[in-house]
Parts: sequence; C-alpha cells; structure tokens
Amino acid sequence: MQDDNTTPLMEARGLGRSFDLAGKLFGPKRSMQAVSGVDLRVMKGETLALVGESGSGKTTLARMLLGLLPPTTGQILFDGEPLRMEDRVATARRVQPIFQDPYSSLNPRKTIASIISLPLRVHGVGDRISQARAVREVMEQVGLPPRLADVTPNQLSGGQRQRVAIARALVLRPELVICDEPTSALDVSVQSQILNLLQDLQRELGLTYLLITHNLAVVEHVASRVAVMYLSRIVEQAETAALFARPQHPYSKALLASVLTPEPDKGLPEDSLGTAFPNAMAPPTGCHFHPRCSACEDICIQRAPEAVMQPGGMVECHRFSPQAVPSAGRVPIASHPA
Amino acid sequence: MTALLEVTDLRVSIPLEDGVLNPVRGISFKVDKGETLCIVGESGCGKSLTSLSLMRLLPTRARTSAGALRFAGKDLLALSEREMNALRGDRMAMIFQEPMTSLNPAYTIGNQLAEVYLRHRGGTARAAHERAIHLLERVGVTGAAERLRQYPHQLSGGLRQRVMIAMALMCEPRLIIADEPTTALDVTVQAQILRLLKELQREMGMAMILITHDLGVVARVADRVAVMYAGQIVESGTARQVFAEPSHPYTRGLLQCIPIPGQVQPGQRLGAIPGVVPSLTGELAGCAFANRCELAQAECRGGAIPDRVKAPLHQYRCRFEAPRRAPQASASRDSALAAH
Amino acid sequence: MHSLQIPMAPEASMAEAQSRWWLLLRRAAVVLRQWPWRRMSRNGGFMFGLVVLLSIAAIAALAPWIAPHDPLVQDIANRRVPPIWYQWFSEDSNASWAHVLGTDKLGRDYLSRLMHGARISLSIGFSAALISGIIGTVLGVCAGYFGGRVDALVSFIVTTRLALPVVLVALAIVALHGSSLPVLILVLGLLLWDRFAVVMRSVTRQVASLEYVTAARAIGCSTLRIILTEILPNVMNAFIVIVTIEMANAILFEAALSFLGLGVQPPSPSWGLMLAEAKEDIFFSPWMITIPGTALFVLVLAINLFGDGIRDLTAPKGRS
Repeated sequence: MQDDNTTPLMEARGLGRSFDLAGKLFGPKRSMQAVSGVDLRVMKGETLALVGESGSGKTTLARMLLGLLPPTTGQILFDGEPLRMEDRVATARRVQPIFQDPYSSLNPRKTIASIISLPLRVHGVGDRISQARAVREVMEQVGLPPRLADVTPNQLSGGQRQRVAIARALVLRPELVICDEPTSALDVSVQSQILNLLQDLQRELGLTYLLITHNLAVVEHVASRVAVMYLSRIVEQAETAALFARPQHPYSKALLASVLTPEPDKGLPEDSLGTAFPNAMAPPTGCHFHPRCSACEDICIQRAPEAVMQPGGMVECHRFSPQAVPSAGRVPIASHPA
Repeated sequence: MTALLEVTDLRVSIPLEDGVLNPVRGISFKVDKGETLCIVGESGCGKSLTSLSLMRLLPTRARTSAGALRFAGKDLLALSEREMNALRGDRMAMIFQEPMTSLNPAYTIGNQLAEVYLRHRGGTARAAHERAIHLLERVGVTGAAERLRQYPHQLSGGLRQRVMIAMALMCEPRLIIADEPTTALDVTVQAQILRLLKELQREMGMAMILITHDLGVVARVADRVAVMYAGQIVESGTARQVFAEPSHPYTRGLLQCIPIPGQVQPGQRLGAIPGVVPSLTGELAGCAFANRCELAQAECRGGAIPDRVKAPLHQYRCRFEAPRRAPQASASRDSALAAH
Repeated sequence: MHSLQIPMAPEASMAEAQSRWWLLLRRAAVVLRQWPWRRMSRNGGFMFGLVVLLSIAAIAALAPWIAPHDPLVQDIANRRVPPIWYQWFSEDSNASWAHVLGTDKLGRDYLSRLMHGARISLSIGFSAALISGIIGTVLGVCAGYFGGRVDALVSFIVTTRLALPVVLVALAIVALHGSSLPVLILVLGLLLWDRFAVVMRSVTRQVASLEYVTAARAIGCSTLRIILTEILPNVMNAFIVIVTIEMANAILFEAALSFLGLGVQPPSPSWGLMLAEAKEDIFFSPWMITIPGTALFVLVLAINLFGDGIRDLTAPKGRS
C-alpha cells in the first residue's frame, strides 16, 4: 500500500512506553521499555495484523491504542486528531477491544444482555427499549440465539463467550476493533468459526481490525498487512502476501519457519535461533535481535538499525540499510525455507 | 514383540454432584519401544485424563478400569501405591503443560532435579548433581552449574520447560508422557523443544506419548496418531495415513479448519465444524460426533458404531465408508509439492 | 414479591414502568434459578447454621410477644429457681413450668432474659459487623483497585489499627462515654474492620486484574461505575464470609465487655451480663452460668457454620 493522501484511521508516531520497576530501597530506579519507536498506520477498512511473541510488547501497544495507557513518548492520531487520555469516553465510541480469554473477559455475575448493553448505557445511547432492541440485533449478527440473553457467562461455551465479547465490542458500531489474540484460547474447530464471523462482520459493517496474534497461519487468511514486533520494536511491516513470500527480517523468517503445518513429511524446521530468550528488562545492545540472529555482524551489536522504507512497508535491519556493505566471505542467509 | 505399553478398553468415570462424568469411554492403543504416539483432540475430549490415568494420578474419587493396562509386562492396575510410586519418575515420566506451575517455586532447580534421582537411584548428592548438570547441558541450557542454584521464577518459559524435560530424563525412563508440552510456549521455542524431544528419544530409545490439540505438532512429530473425541478414539493410524487420507468426519473437519500458509486465498472462509462438544456426563448413545457431522443419519445416534479398517494400522470408527481420497487432503499435498 | 403497580400515566411512561418491572422480575428469576438450592440442602453445616440463626433471629424479633415474663420484673420470692429438668432429678426442688429455665438471683425469669438478650447480641453483632464491614470494604477496595500510593496509605492505616490494643481502647472509650448500646456498636464497628480491609484488598486485586474490568474501562466506564458494578458484585462472597466471622467476633466481644462491667449495664439482659451476674452462684446454681454460656456458644457456632457454608457454596466452580 503506497503512501497516499488518505488519512489513516489510526496512526502511531514514535510511540513508546516504559514502566518503572520497583528498585532496591537505596538503589537506582530500574525501568523497562515495553514499546519503543513504533510507527504504525491502520487504514480504514483493512485488517492489520500485529505479530509478536511473549515479551514483544504487543499487549502494551494495544492498551495504548485503546486509550487505556498513556504513552511515555510519541503520540497516537485517530483520523488525524491526537488521542488524549482525558477523552477516554470519546475514544471508547470509536475503538473497542476483543480480548483473548473468553473466561475472564465477561463479568460472571451479569447476564449476557447486561454485558452487551453496557456500552450503550455508559454512553447514554437510546432508551431502554431501543437498547434492548440493539442488543437483540447484535446478538443475531454474531450468531447467538436470543434465549441466551438472560443467562450468565458460566453457562456458555468458550466460543459462545467470545461471540458475546464480539457483540459487546460491536454494539456501539465502533470504527476500529482491536482484537488481542481473539482465538488463541479456543479449540481449533471453534477458532475457525470465530474467524469466519469476524470476516463476515467486517464486510457487513465496514470495520477496521487491528489483529494481534502469534498464529501466522491465521494472519495470512484474514490480514491485508502485517507488522512483526520483537522486543518492543516493530522490525518489519509488509503486505501479507509479500511477507509470506519474501520475509526480509531474520526474525520474520524464523517465525515463518516455525509454523508447524499439518504436513507429516516435512519433519521439524531447522532451528537457527539459539537459546537466548528475549528479556525486556535487559535488552541486548544495538539491534535487539542480534544474539539470536545468524547473520549478526559487528555493526549489529553496536548500533540499533533504523527503519528502512520499502515498497509496501519497512524493515529494521542493517542488512537492508542503504549504507550496507556486503561483506566478503560470509555465506548469505538462505531464503525462506520451503 | 510385545509392546512397551498396552492399553485395552480403558475407562474412567468420576462421580460428581450432578451425575457421573465419563471422560474416557473405552480406548485402546499400544506404544512400542522408541515410537512416538500422539493423542490429539480438542478440549473436553479426555486426553489429559487419559495420560493421568496411565500414571494413576487421578483423584481418588475417579474410578479407572481397563481390560488390560500393561507397562513392560506389569499390570498397572494391580500395583499398590508404593509400587506405582517406584515406577513413576523412574520408568515412566511425565512432562506437563504449564512450566510455571509444575516446578515448585520454593526450591532451586538443582534441588528438584536431584530429588528425582536420589529418590529412585539413591547414591550421593554429588552424583545426582553431576547427572543434573549433564542433562541440563544436553537439553540446551547454558551455564548449567549456575542454573542449578537458581529458582524457577528466574527462568523463562522455554528454559523452564527444558528443565522439566531434564527432570523427566533423570532416571532414563522407558516411556515419557508429554501433556501439551509446548502449548504455553512461543512458536519459535516450540520447534526447538520438539526437536529436542525427538533427538533425546532417538538417543535413549524412549517411547513417547505426546498429547496435544495442535495438528501441526502431531504431523511433524508423530509416528502414530490417535484422534480422540468425547472420550473415544475415533481414528488411529500412522501419521502419514491419517493426514493423507483422514477417514473419520471429525478428523477431516479438523484438518479443514487449519489454514496452511502459502495455500490460502485471502478472504476465503475457513472450514469449520458447527456445534459444540457434547457433555461427558452420563451415557452417550451411538456416535458422539453425530450432532456435528454432516453425514449423520438416524442410525448414528443409537447402537454401536463399528470399527472400520482402512489399511493395516489405520482404523476409524464410523458407520460410513470414508471416500477414497478426501478432497482437502489431496489439494494440500498437491500444492505443497508444487511449492517445492 | 412486588405487585405490579401500573401508574395512571400516558402510554410511553406506562410502557417504561412495565418494562422496568419486567426486567427486574426477569433478573430476580435468573438469580433464583441460579441459586444452588440442591447444594445448599446437602451442606449439613450450612443448613444447621442457617436454621439455628433464623430461629434465634425469629425469637429475638418476637421476644416482646412470646417471652413468658417481663425480663426486668423481679420476684424475690422466687429467686434462684432451678430449670425444669431439676424436677426430674430431685424430689424437693421448686422447679416449675412457670419458669422453664429457672430464675436468677433477683427472681427474673431466665427464659425471658435469654430471649431479650438475644436481641441485644444479634443487634450488636449485626450492626457492628456492618459498620466495620463498610469501613473495611471501602478501604480495602480502594487499596486493591488503585494500588500505588493509595495502597501504601491504606496499609499504613491498617498497620496502625493493628498496633492498637483493641480491648484497652474499647474500655477507655466506654469509660469516657458511658456504655449505651449505640456507643458499644460504634466502638466495635470502628475497631474491628481490619480483617475486612485486608481480605477485600486482596480479593479486589485479583478481580481488578481480570479482563472484564479492562473491558469496562475500554468501554468508557467511570471508575466509580466500575467499582460498583464490576468489582463489588464479584467480591461480595468474600465479604459475606468475613461478615459472619466478624459478627461472631463482635458478639463475643460485647459479652466480654459486659462481663467486665463495661458493656451493657444492668438490668439489661445481655448474655455477657448474665454470665457476670451468675459468677458468684457457679457452684450452687450452675445453670445460671451454663445457660447463657451455651446460648452464646450455639449462636457463634451457627454463625461460623453459616459462613463456612456460604464460602463453600459461592466458591467459584472450576472449568470442567
């Protein structure tokens, strides 16, 4: 997607967030950088997938985009206007979340109708009668039978609960829905039901999705663009087809290689990542990925790479920077294994 | 050659307040020395309880019964608790899903590793420590001597799982039961852990029962596969057989739900299985999958369902003959071949 | 239940009123349907506690009408009359059905005093528990939800309270302000909230970390609304358990204060006071001290069993 003149629905510029950790009584305060230097754009009507593993900072990023957590650096623009923490209520009408765990995202003491109608009541939309009607409509849209309106969540299955969460997110007709691992806690057969539902609703209601997940197989199915996060930074952004065909960043390549598809003859993928694990509290110097990168060079240890713009996206890696000098005698990285 | 583990008609029932729960309803399988059997199924199919019942780790109110439950010739159901304790950790070991909670946070890694060894083999603490260091290095934990003094909360999830694997291997068991060993781990760590398990298995000649819901893991790791649904094994065979020609409607449905990167049309709908898993309380007549199966007829809901044999070792339980080649399976194989 | 009152008003508000009652009824039906009736009846301790508590409460409520005598009327001629069962053991006692549980040293009927005493014990226990419950819950929930400095402040307050010698403070206040019932209730209420604060704080922390609270924030709910509608309903079962414990505590505390002469003043028939007055007759008229003692024991036992039962019944069911 080329940079054109339309304003992105949501844009993050230089977004960063650090947390202060309790230090020792008389020692220096420690801080942890959960998100740093994130530039992200979500265009209206598309599905942007944010892919990352544990410790990448994707949940913190989602909280900031929802207006729940103030960034320590950078800003967020919604339809061109800056998002302010004080306008939480106004933001809530336009951005809604769907969380991962269907068992803890619904209040166990409330009925389904009460849960779904909460956004309407908080924002004072309509009167009791029209609210009840809106709840019925949205329940139908997500495939929940109307008799479930008066039950409590513990009588529903995981898939049904997730549908309730979707209904609650959509009842205000938001513009952007941030889905934080919406299907990870569900069974495989239910996952595909929910993903199909999300796709249908996007078409019907003209929604824009920011889908956070670690499941790459699903990403290719539903997302138009992908952003890959590693240890607080976005290391690559590209259109989905391009990322899957020609991943640039070594981490993206490793992620794609690790996807285990149900094809028995392929065996297990070669593991080139080593056992260093990403520790957000003590990130490596220079490029955060260098301890696990098989193409690591001296410059990777010394200096953090800058974003290199490419057609359709960007990548943060010294190998792609314009000043990169191909070093003689090193075996180039094998391209994405089939 | 007799199998290392032989299970015939295993049944587990747990009396609850509102009825009797039957999570395992008569399953049979065998595991030979050195082979990997994957039991795959979704939540509520009874696979975890199966693994616990093999080690006789179920709560006391659960009742286990089987036609035969034999490990290396010994009848597990006839053993006393003491004899069973001697087997657990020594000849049969288990790896659990949540490395956060399966290691005791109050003791060091070294303490917990040594405990297994000392309990079963006796000997000096020094010998146990040396073996622990050796195994930690083997599973890829760097700085093993240092790690022995650390506590579980100081390690990442992947490292903790490696420690669990080392703990399971301390006494060179003949059988490892791994219950969703990689579900709680990141995708990049998952491949490493699975590869490690396979290597160790080859080196030490261990058999492995791997329980998971992830068909991708099953395909890459299993020698043989057993698909469980609602407490029964609905299809079993070698990995190649089951993935190339899935014969039970549930297996076919599951495979259609999983998108394969590189073979996806954007915007295409994913296959799905409508409905939900039936409750395991009380008795189930006929085929448990009937209310979700597109082929279901009236006779599926009552009476016994026959076991059909598709090929040597490949069996499935259905009233209907499976089509010669399931369309989805062949399409994925063809395009996979084309991509090479 | 409620009677459906349909006001004489224009169509719209009539529909509104009807729908409101309808929603309320539906809500009540949901709660009743979900109530674990069967589990309740199987939990022996809970049923015992519930039945005993309800009986004592009924007796206390109806005491002015069902007590055979006035508890304050003295009948010197009939003092120290033993309870009715003495009639069956010895020939010459003057026990009679007129005074089923005997009389005290001033001839006041014991059964009537016991019944009226129940009113005092229950009212003090309940009110003190409620006041301390409100104080402790407010502090605990704020500390648990807001964390940070608020939490540090509340912890400091709790620690200060724990450092106080409660009995001495109670005695001092009572000595200063006299020992009427309201003063006693207030003193107990203001001193016994620490367990509430600690428990509600930890339960609130657990609930606040669940995703439905984050979802409510994302919807735009104000903090007050979140605390009232999302957090409070889910910490209520912990509250109920602690309330029963503290109620028992308050009752025993009051009995102790009265025993020491600094609680309810004579001639009020507080059970603690009855114990104190019966001290001197312990060898010759042992029933005088045994009966109120037993009553206290039974009441506190019932409250504790009831609280245990509530905890068991409202324990969250794990995922099958």
